[in-house]
Amino acid sequence: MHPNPGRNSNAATSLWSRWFRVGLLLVLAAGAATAAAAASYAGDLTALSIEELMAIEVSSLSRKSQRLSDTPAAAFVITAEDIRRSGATSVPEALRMVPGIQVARIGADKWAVSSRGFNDWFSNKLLVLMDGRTVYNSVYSGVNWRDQDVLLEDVARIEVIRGPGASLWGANAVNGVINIVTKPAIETQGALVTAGAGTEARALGAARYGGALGSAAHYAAYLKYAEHDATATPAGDGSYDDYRLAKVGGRVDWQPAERDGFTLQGDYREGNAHGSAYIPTPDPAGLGIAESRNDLGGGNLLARWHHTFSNTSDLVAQAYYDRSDSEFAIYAETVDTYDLDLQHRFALGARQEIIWGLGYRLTRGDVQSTPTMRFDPAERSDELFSLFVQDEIALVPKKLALIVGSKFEENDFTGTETQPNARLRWTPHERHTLWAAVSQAVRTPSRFVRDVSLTHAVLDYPGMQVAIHGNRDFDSEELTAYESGYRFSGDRWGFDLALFYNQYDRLGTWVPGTPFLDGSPPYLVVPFTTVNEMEGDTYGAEVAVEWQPLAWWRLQGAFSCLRMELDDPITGNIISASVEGQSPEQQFSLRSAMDFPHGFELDLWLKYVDDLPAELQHIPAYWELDARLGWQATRNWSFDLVGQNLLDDRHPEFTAVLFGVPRAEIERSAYIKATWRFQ
Amino acid sequence: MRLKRSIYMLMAGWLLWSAAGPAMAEAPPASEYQIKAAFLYNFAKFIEWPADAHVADAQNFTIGILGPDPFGPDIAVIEGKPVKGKPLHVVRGHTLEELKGCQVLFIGALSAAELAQSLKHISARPVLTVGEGEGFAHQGGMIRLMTVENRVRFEINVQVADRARLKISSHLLRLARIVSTDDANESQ
Repeated sequence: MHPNPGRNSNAATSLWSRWFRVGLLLVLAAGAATAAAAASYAGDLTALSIEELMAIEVSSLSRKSQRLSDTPAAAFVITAEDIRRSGATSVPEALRMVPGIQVARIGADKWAVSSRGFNDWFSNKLLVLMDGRTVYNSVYSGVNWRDQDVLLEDVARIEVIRGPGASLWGANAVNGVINIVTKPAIETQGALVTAGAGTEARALGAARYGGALGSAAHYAAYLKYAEHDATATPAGDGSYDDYRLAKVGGRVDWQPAERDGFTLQGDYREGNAHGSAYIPTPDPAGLGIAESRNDLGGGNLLARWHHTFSNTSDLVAQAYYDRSDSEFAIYAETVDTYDLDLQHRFALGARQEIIWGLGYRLTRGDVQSTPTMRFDPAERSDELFSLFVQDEIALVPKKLALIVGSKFEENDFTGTETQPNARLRWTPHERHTLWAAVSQAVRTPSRFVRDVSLTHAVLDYPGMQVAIHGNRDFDSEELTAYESGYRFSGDRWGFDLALFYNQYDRLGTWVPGTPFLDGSPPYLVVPFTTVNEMEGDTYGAEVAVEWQPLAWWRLQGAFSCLRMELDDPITGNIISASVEGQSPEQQFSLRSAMDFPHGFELDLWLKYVDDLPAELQHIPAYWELDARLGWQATRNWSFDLVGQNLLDDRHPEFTAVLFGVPRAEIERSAYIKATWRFQ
Repeated sequence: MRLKRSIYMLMAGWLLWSAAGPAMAEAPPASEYQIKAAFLYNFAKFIEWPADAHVADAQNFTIGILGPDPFGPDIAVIEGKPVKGKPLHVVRGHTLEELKGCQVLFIGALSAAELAQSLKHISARPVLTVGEGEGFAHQGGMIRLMTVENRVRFEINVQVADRARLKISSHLLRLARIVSTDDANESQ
């Protein structure tokens, strides 16, 4: 345990301004160094890699291809190349390269991932989608990253938008949206087999095969297995959170005519994880640890139809079914989701493009009781109706555009929610884009805040128990966000800056009730009720820089800073201080990718995360380094040797002690992987 | 509350304004041939020419278009871009003689006989041949660009490229479909 003496505001300010100055100098240096480079006219296309070019949809009808550089939002794309060269074996690991996204590993199978603050094991202000299917669980309002084991070789890109994505994606995209897009079958043809083993990533293996079905369809199917070792306790022993997961999936894409495309995709997974949690025991002086083997499983099936009316109009209809069975030491649940979505895009007059959509979702959740957690009622079905509309208006063609939109949702908890936003995009020159946005978003209450009864002991306070009760009257949390940004894309370097100022209202906090004695021998129980009594502001800046100093060397840096100023007068700011202290104020990431002769690649990834001073965290700031040596030995064979978290024996990143999870630390590790491809 | 209302009023105002606005001619965004031009640029980047091709000595890096030109103005997206330290330059011509100094030769839609002739003439010369026709790579062309399922793909005939001593990076090979010259068309 590393006690943090607490933050001194002067020290924090000077550290922040020091970082800012360093960042600014780096950016200026990069600019000066490449100023001499041939500054000829460059369309964005030549800045794309071949893989990116291959992913662009073209047709003789000259359809519009939306480039991320046009987005008037804080957008970042993790490409398939970025993932391959990062050495990441899971999506949260890859997310660490995105500015404005907080990623902290709690244990082998638990992650705290958020955008622009409010990080926690189940961070409720970040919406995550996989090919348009939501993996945000509305029962406990969060994403269970362990169960979203994705075959990374199938990922075409991961689109990350920080800031409210409400008008297009709806509620709960309050602080950000992550959309994981997998490759169409045609991009995964032939055979692929990977096998790897390591110290923490015990076993990794996958096999995929893609082929053609007749002349107009392609399919791809895969099998995947991963096993992850347990993390370490602060004392250096082994934790009890190892897990293993097997997955099978596939996809068929059928293009019977130039204007119609159909996709059917699905997957099925099964696995188990070990887990432990502190539980209240009759003996108040001690705490019991419940160890369990937790099963997880699930599957989904998604069908999509894409119809092109003209080069300015198309329609997408999608339906999916998702089932998720998940257990952790403190709770278990089964969730069935049925979803129908329709989206239509068309031009209105000569200046406008309208996108509108309708959606319906039915979520049936069944939470199984454990000694620690109970939901009342245990089973519930909830319906969600949504409508969104967005209008992009060319004020000055190709230079200035105004985008206004809103999402309207009707949910079973809070009734109708309206989430409007307005954005302005100014492109004074091909290479420069400036944008500004004002939006409102809500986070609708989950079943967790309404129906839960969570009772557990807290490690740091033996003899006491905390009992958190849900509140049926809990209202939606609200956000008004003001954002702006600037993007520059040059021949050899690119720069992306996003600034934001968020005003939150009706944030959830817990108000303590009267403590009472319970049990025999008695221990003190402090009841808490969830209420909407916290509010405040957050603001910050995120920078992403890309620089290619040499043809064989590419650097990508990301820097984020975040300030949270929350108030919850009802507890004298105790809870707000804790929420503020769970997200780092500064984060930095620098990736270097070097290509050497004979197919060798050396990739280094340096990361810095500021400390978490919250009372129940006390996580010190850390620097970490990942290194990858890749070798494309022959046309078909490639090898990876990856070392992760190399700078420390082990280090903590986040604790979930409020959920009774014992503290765990992430160890230094390495793995080796062989990949065979054949077409 | 006030904010929401302002946004709605803004929306309503704009809908009325733009419905009455004048028609505008908008330049089309990234088209098929702009993207294929970007591919040509990438091919140039990921291929090494032999020393006697004198790529280092030339003033420009030249891409020649032989025959009917499907790119038109779309080729402009790569004009002037730096390749191997030189600005990229595009020339058009109807005979191989006119396009002598090119490092890359894009062959437009020629008849089968004309194509076979042209390929035979420049075979073993360090010039990257790119085309679009269905049998282009099978007939001895080096890279064939094609559109499959609305996305651009390419085939590479590595044998022919090897014979011309052009070194294609493994990166490019990995993304291509590899084909070989049809036995029926092997002239040697």
